[in-house]
Amino acid sequence: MNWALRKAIFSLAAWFLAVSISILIIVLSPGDPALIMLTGFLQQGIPYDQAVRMVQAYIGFSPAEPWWSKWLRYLLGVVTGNLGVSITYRIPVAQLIANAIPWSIFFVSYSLSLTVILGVLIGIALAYYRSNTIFVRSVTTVLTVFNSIPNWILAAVFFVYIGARWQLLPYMGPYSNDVTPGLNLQFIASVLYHYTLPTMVMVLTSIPGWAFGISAMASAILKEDFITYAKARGLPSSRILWTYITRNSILPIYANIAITFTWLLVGTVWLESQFLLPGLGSLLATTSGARDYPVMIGVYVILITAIVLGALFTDLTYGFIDPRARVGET
Amino acid sequence: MSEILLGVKNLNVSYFNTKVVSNIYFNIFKGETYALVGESGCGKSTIASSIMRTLPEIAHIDADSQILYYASPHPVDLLKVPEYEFSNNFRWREIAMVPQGALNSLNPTIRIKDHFMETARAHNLDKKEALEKAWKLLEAVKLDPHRVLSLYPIEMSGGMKQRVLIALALLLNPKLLILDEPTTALDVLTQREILIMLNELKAKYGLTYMLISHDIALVADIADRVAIIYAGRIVEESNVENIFYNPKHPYTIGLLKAVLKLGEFREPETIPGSTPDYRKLPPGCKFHPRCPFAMDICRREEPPFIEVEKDHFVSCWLYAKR
Amino acid sequence: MSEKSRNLAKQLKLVFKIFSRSPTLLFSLVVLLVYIIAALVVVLGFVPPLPPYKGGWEYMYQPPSLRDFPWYILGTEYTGRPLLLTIIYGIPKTLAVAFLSALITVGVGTAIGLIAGYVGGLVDELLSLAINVALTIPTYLLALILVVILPPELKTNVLVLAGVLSITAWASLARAVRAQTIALKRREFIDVAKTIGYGSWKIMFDEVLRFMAPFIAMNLVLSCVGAIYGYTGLAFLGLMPMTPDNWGVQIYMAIRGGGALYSDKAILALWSPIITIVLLQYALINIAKAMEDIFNPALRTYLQGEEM
Repeated sequence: MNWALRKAIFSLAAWFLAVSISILIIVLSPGDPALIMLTGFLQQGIPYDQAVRMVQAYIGFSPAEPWWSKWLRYLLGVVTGNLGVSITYRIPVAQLIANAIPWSIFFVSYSLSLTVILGVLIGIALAYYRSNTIFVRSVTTVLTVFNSIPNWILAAVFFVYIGARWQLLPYMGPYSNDVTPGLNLQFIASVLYHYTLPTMVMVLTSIPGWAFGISAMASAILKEDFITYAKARGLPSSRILWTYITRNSILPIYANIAITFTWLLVGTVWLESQFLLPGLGSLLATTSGARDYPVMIGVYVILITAIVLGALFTDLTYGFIDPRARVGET
Repeated sequence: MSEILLGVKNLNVSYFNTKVVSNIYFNIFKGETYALVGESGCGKSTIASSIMRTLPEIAHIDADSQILYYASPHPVDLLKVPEYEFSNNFRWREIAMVPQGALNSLNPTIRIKDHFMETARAHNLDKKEALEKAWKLLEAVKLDPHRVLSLYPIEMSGGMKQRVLIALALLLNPKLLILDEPTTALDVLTQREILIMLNELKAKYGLTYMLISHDIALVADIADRVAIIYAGRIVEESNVENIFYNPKHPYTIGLLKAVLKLGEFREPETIPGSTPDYRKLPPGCKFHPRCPFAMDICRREEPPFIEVEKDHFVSCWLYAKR
Repeated sequence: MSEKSRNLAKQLKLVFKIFSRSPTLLFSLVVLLVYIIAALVVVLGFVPPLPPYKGGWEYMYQPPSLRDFPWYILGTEYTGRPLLLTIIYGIPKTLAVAFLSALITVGVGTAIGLIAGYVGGLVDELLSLAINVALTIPTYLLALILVVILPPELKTNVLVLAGVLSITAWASLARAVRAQTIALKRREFIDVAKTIGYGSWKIMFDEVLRFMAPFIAMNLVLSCVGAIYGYTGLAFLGLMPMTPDNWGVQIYMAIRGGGALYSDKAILALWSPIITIVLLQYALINIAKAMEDIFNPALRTYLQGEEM
């Protein structure tokens, strides 16, 4: 438990440093958002003093302060949960983010679990049937092609063709208009149906990394003595495949779950905005277009928080899953 | 010492048309320890894998090869029985093996208990019965079952792992145990303890051992009969006394000289030349490029197997009566 | 000296062997070469200048024609300029941003990893902390914020863009180089080099860097892939200056302004930049994979063993 606590404290420190350094970079860059906002208000003919107060009210720090004061004041806001007010929506940023979070959690965790499950299965199949050259070659080629397509391009192509042109799957919005949001079956079914296309994009573009990684691991595992010895003992091939090959292939790259999680979370910026879905990604994309700095920076801080939590979660669960990690720690 | 337990007849194994085990004949009698000795890569592990039927798919065993197992009144050719029958009746029930403990032979991600239970389940052994048996066997190999069963392989020393592997091999009361380098990479003290234990277990459970080793000292300690293998062929076979005090084949002599005897302040001699490349084996006797006594005929024809004295066979032209 | 050149010859032979084995890799190299030649052709001024912007529906997304061959064979794009020409104009800038960004990523990553691993102590702890913090900040996320807040004149600067797109990308390479350096430091030959009388920085850059060259080269290529993703992807979000020579902008306009959603009018304007991007990424990823193979010791010994 001591070990878990240490990990948590370390994560907290990393989070604090990541957020403060990002805020520092933002307020120190030539385009300090407070200054840009101030200029905007002044151009609208608002008197200087009032404009400064408005900037202060929206983003939490004033354009007239020195950089360290802006930095401290914003950090204080983050810690107390005050992230400022949205310029476009005129409501607190924290509230906007709270509304968006559940959608992104659903989208990312849904895509992540599908990516990992399918990626592992394909990777194991690649290693297990490695003598079948045609199978390996064709699967590898398809994976490499999907590896080279940026997720936002696949999203655009699916949006245009599978969605708008051919009308095969829903391509706009999180659920259809005729269902009432809530814990009812129609709503859940509608949401799953509407997220099919975006999830396909996420999964197809993230599977190659997992499949290649697992297949490399499994090819090495297949040469291990414990595989030969398991066969000698007469263990059924299903047991060897799952408990011996798959288990031992996943554990060394278990930490990649956190990396994929981060990657998918960043991907929501493109995918949620492409398919008009609610969530942190689309919130960031739309407010970026509108130069709504308080929301942008707020979403940014929340995304960093989610990434740190994701890494901490994989770290802690890995310790419980893999005996080798625990032995190494103590 | 006269009842045969296992008879290998004319065993030929090849990989991609390259023969790695050639024309192997030997018998193992009930209750003895039979040792296959040779440098690494000489084919001794391939012989063991042929018996356990764990050769990789790319390996090819000639159709007229036989491995006869004499359990029931009639001998059974292990190479011919269907896989399910071999799995149900022979694998681990009649013949089990102990791999090298220092190697990565245990699944690093499951507990020792799971290794026993999965083996039991694969052979339809009752769960409770299996656990009791595992408990007893771990005590027999002088481990604390209560502690060891809940450990992961990484939490154990090489010696402990070797004991676990021995206990695991005895789970289904096999008659023949194949010991594959059972003491390699262990410290001298642990080696000693494992040897003593192997002798105790042999008496206690009425076992027959087939020992595979490159360690001459170990073989001298526990083997009854010895076969010396070179380039996939048996070059000399006899009881342990003949092999050590009256070796005939130049390769055997070289191997023995290579062992540094305690008390002798002499550098161990090594056999000149390197282990053969199976793809380019020379014609005639396969050892002739490294043999100090090589004659013309050795370069042309493979030597026959000659009985130089009772139960002492050598495959060398030096002893051929012409 | 002869030992060194023999080593180099051996390495080149190995590289050649890996390349000749795979038609995909050969194809990828040819593709990359074509892009590089196209970039040079543009930079050296062999291509006609972009015609001025022509407003009006009649000029947008015209069908292919043989006028001014070959520039109009893909028709025109949303500004009425020839599509082929705008795509070709995108090559030098995209490659420049990608390559500069990769150089920064790999340079910073290698330097920080080497220093942290080699010097050790407090320096290592501080640099490791920096690496860990950078690892928690996704490059494209911070790049997105920076691209929005930077003044327009900086956003069009290739060097600034390259810097923004590599802002935290160096971290994973730095971590790998640090681990490798620590592992190499324990090896004998570093001590040997020291006793022979090499200075410690000389050792660091000669031995350690040479040993990791394929790994670093692989990361250079992969960083290019990442930078191209960011450069075109952020443009697709409409956050970059709407210059007609950015492929991301072209795709964005084909969907938003060109009616690719409802008709085939902008089909070439949609697919040409998509294929241009994917082909380049595909080639780069295959080349990176080949470099990984060179780095993979098992395959290396396998291939070298075949010579005997």
